[in-house]
Amino acid sequence: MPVCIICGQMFKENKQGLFINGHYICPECENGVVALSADDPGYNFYKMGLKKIWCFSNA
Amino acid sequence: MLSGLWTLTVVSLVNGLLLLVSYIANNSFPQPLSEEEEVKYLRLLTGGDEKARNVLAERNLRLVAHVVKKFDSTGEDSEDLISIGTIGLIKAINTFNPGKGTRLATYAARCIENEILMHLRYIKKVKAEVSLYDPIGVDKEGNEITLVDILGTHPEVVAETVENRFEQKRLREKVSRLTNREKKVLELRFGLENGARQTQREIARNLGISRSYVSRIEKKALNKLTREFTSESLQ
Repeated sequence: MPVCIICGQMFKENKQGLFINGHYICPECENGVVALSADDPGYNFYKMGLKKIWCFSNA
Repeated sequence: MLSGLWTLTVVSLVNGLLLLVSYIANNSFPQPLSEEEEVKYLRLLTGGDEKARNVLAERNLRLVAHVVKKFDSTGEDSEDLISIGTIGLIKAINTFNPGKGTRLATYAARCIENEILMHLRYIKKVKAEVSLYDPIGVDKEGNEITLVDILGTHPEVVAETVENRFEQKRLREKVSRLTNREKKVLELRFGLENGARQTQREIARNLGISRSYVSRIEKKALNKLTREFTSESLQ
């Protein structure tokens, strides 16, 4: 069962979210990303999570 | 020292560039959508096919790497920039309006670039901020010195404060020679006790007298004080 690459939440059939290259982003995190501004305290959290799409070794 | 930093910068730039080139060259990410494919998937998305959204995001990943290449010279971490570009791509997928006549790829490229520019501007702003507790060096004994340790009050401000206190003391002495009612009116009017000033109307209400009477008491008391200070300066 895929888990969200940002928050680790499990994929649920009744909730959609986004799959990019096999990596799941839950709807809550997707909405969080869309609402992000550069000075958001959570910016780094989302940035680190999204690195997994690119398979960075330290992500 | 400088040559070391220079080498480090060059190495980091080359590494970033190699990383990006390898993403694009090793075909690990799907090819971009053609114009027809883009139209097809956008139509599917409008029809409620959520999987079309995944395809639209996935097939624009190379665009992120492509846009990030433009920012190689900024010295920022390439992995961070790619991730920030991905934030821009997700924003683009969610906010794209096909009715505007622009291609998704064009709109997404703009969003990715904007996201990176916003980040760079923010980084620049944060770097310009200085904390009072930032270490700025060490003293003779090797203890860390912060900015707040060396900041003091300007000597002129100190002199002004002392002078004000001296003048206040003189004024209080003179005020103490006034009648109780005059004293009370001046204290309330000029906040001599607690710094809170009242209008003549407020004082009149507090003391149960008319505003014009408060005005007369105030005027008389101020005249007395002026005379006291004048005679003192003439001595």
